[in-house]
Amino acid sequence: MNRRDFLQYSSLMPLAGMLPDAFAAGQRPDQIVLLVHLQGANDGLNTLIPYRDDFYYKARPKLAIKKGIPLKNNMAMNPYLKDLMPLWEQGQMAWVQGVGYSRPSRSHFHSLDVWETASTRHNEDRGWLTRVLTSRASAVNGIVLGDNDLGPMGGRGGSAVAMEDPATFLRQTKYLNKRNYRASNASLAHMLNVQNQINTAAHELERIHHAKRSRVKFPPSRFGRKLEQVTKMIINGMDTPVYKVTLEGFDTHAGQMDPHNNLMNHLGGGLKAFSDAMKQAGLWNNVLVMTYSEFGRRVAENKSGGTDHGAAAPQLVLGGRVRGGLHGRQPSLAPDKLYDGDLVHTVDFRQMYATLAQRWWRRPNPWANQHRPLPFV
Amino acid sequence: MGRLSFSDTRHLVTRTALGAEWGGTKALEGKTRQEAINILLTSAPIRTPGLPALTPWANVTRMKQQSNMGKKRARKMMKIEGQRLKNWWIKHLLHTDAPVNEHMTLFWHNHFTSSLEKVEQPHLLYLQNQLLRKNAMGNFRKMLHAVARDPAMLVYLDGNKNIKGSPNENFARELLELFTLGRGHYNETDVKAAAIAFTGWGTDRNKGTYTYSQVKHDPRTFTFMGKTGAFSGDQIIDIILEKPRAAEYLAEKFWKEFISDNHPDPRVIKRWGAKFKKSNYSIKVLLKEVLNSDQFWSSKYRGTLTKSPVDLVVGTLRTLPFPKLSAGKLSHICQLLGQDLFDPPTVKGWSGGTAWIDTQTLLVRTSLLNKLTRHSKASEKMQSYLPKSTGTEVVEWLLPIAPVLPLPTTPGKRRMVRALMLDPVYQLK
Repeated sequence: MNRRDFLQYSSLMPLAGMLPDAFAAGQRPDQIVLLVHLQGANDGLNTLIPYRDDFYYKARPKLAIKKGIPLKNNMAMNPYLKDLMPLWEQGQMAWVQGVGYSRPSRSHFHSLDVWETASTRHNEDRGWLTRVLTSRASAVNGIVLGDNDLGPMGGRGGSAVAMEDPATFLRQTKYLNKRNYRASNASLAHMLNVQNQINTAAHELERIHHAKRSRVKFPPSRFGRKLEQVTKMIINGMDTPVYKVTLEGFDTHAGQMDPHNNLMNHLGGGLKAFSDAMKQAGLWNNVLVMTYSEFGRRVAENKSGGTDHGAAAPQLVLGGRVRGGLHGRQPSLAPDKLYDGDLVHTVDFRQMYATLAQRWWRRPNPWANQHRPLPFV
Repeated sequence: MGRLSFSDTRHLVTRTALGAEWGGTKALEGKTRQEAINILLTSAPIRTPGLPALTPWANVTRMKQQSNMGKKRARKMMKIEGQRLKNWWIKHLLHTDAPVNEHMTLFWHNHFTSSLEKVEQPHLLYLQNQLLRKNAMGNFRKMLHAVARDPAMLVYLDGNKNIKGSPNENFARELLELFTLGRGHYNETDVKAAAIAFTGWGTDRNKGTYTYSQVKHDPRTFTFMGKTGAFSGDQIIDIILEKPRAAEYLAEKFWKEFISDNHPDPRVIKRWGAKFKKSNYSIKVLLKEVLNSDQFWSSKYRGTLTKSPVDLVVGTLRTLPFPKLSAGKLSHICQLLGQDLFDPPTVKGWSGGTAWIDTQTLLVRTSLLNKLTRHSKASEKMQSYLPKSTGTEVVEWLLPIAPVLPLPTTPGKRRMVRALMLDPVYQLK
């Protein structure tokens, strides 16, 4: 190609789309959710402990926790969650017991997919939050920290960004086109919309990068740092209703006792700092924290001092407007009440999502036909 | 009928092959539609690269039974060998002389999905992949019968667990919902009935073959789609294929693959379906019908399909003389872009279309193209391999419609190619 050819061609080009873009920052939503994925499948029975149940001690001669912190109805909390005790006393901690689904999968991959897409048939590629929240052109609905998978916010119509951390994200977005352009078909319009979502998030994160951080001290762990980053985004008014972080290491097939307690300590310490920071910023009533995991673990411990993949487990919910206490029904540990050695769920996990949709966000419940909300908020 | 312009031939090639090699695309210029399509669909002999070493399944089973440690090791080994298989396919996609046949192989992989994740045994996925490749442009009826007996499919949709007294409906349901008719064209009784017909079908994983067990088969009489009998699985398939809807369902999928994300005109689908069925399900007949249609050539649909990760990654490297990346690297990039070959995300396969592009994948796409086209020692060499042509023709070669961002004001072949590849329109075909 020579210069003349090129000029000949370039003269045909319209000058459209050359104006710099203004990425309008919105306002912090009034109802924010922080999702905490306990990756690897958390042992529910050693988290919320049926400490007066003989079957518990029979099934777990080595792993039973005897010094749990009694809550009520013969249930105790793992002692390493002690940092969260004030929240229980203030009625801001809810445990939903026996959450799961029918014919549970024991594969991490499949079951996580079930949880994140709210479909047990493995035929849905939209995350559950994609279905609950409407996509907006001017902002992202979710930020995933520490993972590059959009998870519950993925799929068609989703609007979330995932990143290892904000600094990495800002480096990655440097080369993305910032110009607006005329989208002459639906595919281009979609691409432009995605581009704008990323640029808006980057623009906001750039601003927040230089903004003030909370005075609360977070645990110096990977989990603590992520929670601190989320905190910074929330207190500086990021226009995003959902954050997702992950705490890794729950796949405790062998030598479970110490590592699991250690994870409980991380979880409790991190969430305590997060709630303190929210309280200090006057935002605790605007935030709801919910944990989830692929599945619980087998009732009986295995020969390696660990537990194998199981089924139903409790979920922890925290927040200023949460109705504290024990919700749902604890599944029976009696051997004849187990299914293949696993607890049988008493609450379908989609009831959790229905609750968030209907009672927290006041939005339609996509699972209204089968799943009713619970009164934990 | 008019003669094809260069822009027309680029349209034809990018939508049916893998990328648009300069020579092949240029060679079709000036031909009629029919001539060009006939040339394109005349396949070169297919030679896949040698199969990577895979551990016999009997050895894997033995390892798994030894201990928990052995189980872990076996899983790890299958993961590594699965990756080898993924690399094997990427290599073939990159080098095949029959890109249209390979495009169709990938299409069928997305129609008859199976995943390493569930099947765990790379060798079975390899056999399925070869089956799809062999029948990619052949006869759909023949392929469907073969897929129903395919060991990977029998494992993936639990066909091997479908036995008398304890039916598993997974395969029967997907046969109706995803492979032939689509939702709303059958009912739950049909699913249950079809499941009975396929009881006793199974697989020998060590040999990688189909098995049939008389004992596990339920020989009872039932009603399926209004017909009553003790039908076999093969008879079920043939009853389904008698329905015009089966051919129309495939015609709809072809519309989405080759023409547009928009809903098709039902009259067009009826017409294509009728031709397809009349040809006794010849895939080539349907493909020719689609490619010869005015809809395929309409300017309304140019540049409206989103390139799949394979289109983008493999297509770019087949089109332009960039230094080749390793198969492992390419496979990893495709995975990051949401198209992990042999591991589709759901039984429905990849949803494709605009769903290829989300906040994650747009960043990966941009960064990949940016890295590829960045000025370097290696890219200097590339300059001399670029075709001698005019600027207008280069734009027509690389973009389906006019770029939406301004082009560089300083001339230079490489700069031009870079600008075109970084234009959002490059993501489309």
